[in-house]
Amino acid sequence: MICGRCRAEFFAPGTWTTLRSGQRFDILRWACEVPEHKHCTLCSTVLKDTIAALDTSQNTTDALSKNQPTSNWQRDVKVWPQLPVKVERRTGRLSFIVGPYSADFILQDGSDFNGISLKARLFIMSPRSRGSEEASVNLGSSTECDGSIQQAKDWLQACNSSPEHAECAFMARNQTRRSQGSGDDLFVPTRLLDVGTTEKPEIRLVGDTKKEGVQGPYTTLSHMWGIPMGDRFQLTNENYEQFCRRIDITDPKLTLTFRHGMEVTRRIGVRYLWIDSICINQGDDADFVRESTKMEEIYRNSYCNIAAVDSENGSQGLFRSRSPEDLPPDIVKFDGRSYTFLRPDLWDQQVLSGPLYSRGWVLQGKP
Amino acid sequence: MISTINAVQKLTRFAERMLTPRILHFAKEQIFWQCPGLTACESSPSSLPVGVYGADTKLELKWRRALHQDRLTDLDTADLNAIWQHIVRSYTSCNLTFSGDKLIALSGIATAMQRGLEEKFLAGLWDATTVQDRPLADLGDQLCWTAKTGKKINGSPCVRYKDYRAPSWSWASLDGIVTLRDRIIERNPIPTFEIKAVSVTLQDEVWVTGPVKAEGSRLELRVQTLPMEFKATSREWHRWEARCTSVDGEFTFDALMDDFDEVKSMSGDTDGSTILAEVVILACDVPDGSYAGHGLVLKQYEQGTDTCMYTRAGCVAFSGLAKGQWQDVVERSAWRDIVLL
Repeated sequence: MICGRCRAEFFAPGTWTTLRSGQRFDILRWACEVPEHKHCTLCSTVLKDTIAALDTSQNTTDALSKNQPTSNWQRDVKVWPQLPVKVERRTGRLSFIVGPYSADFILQDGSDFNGISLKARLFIMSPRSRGSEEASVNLGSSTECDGSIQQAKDWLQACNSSPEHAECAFMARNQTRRSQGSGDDLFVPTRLLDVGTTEKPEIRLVGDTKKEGVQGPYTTLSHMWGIPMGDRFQLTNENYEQFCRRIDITDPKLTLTFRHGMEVTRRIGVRYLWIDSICINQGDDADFVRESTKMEEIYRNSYCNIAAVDSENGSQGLFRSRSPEDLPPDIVKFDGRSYTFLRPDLWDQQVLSGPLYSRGWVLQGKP
Repeated sequence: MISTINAVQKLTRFAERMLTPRILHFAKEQIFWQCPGLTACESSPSSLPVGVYGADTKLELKWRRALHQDRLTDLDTADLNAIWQHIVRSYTSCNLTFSGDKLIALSGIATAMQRGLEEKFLAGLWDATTVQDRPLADLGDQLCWTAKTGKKINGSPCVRYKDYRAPSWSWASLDGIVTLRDRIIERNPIPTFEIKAVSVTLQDEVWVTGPVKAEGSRLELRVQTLPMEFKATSREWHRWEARCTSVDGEFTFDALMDDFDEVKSMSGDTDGSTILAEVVILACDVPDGSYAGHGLVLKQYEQGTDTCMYTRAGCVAFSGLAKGQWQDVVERSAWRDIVLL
């Protein structure tokens, strides 16, 4: 959300054209003093970033020792509003300068930004097309809701058949051939988990897809175990026969993430799921080698990969409850046009920095 | 530095993210969608503006694109090589002393790259000679990867795995942080080597990006082997003054060398400040009138009696070599066939 104060100061009709370089704003003060502003995408983000950028610097230490605040809140109210904030204007772009730190918010037409200093926080204002102005998104109180799963199905459907997904055509081709039963040469993993249907959610292992004529499609699951090898739910020589007959959904070793993975698979209308620990015999080295050679094909031919981004271990599952009113991006108006106001690090922050991916391992390797 | 288990898991996650064309990311507040044609989330289902991706995501999207391309452009080829360079560097930076074979862990991505590049996988290196219209001679550059020690290992040098993992000319044989050189073909002003044959023997012949075995894994080169004496010029191990002497004259140059235990074991004195070794030059250039380039430090293969059998003990980067000196020695040195195991 964008708070009323920010809307009034920056997004009132005509504001953009009348803002001058050097003009001062008490943006940090209003972020500190009005508790409702804590959730404001604009002022509270500028405040948080300012604190993060200046926290370690000498200035801050000095300021803190003079003010001697007893809590974070008091510190925020006492220290931060005293920092001068002024506006700087450049072409199509407005910056708040706070000491050595600047926060930019920008009118943007979807083009790329390179060479922006790392200290700058960019806010993206993306013009909204006419059609999308009417479309409102109805979000449920959890990612488990029908609306969320329906959205997932809509994306898959669009990717399968929409002309806008020309780059995804190879996927669509394969799915069509599968559904028409003409995909004999299509890749299918050796074993798959049959997750049943929503009406009849019985689970078993398909031990030999070729023999049983199972063609897929199948989903895959990206998840973190978080427990030692020996305690995992996995396929061995001992339980092979049993798994092929039936897998007990109430087995305590079957993690919540697995159960959710099966549920999502069923609800998007797919019957099979590939999970490494269940579809590769963990007690058979030759099987490991045989299936490892297929790993790339298994993932490439997956109907869809289901990723438990926010889970450190198997007990945390896929679904999350949420406050739906916080989710829709803010709409702001300038000169009669509508723009979507977004945080620019949305993807990195919400996807890549989740426990599953922990953004950063890749960067650690750089010299 | 992240722990061994985490490093392997994160590499696996990275591979899954790169290899599956369509992903439903179940995140903290909403579901995110990713396919080659669209990235979106529940609150912006019809697409997200490019601006919402940070640098990491932009890089990943570029790479995913290259990996899922039916027909590769030169740019895609460059991206694939960048992925490989990046992955090898990141993965070998983790402390993986107790982990399994590096080639097994990287096999999924290697398979995807191979499908695109159509090059032959050589235990971590790529043989482009199998592809028409692709520059051929860059295997020399690829052989000049460098190894160094992470600060975490308290200064002890990189080590060769005790069990056979790969031929000595592959970085997969080594436990240490590996940096691959860009696959840009450098023109050698003077041809310094010729690859006669290269082969690796797979443990399992259907797993072409999988583990390899010693028997039959070899690189045959026609080269000039130059006897050299390296003297450490500072307390730091990596900086040396190299001196090459032969009947035709001598030359000296500044050298940087791998931080590797086999190099150090070749020392001629007790404090390890002098090393005597044979060197082959695999890449050289004349950037500003003087010669600069890369070569390999060789070590006689001890078990055999055949004097043309060597292992790769390190990589040496040289610079500041005057043209006249080079010609005196290198152009008159004899050519011979050697085998690198």
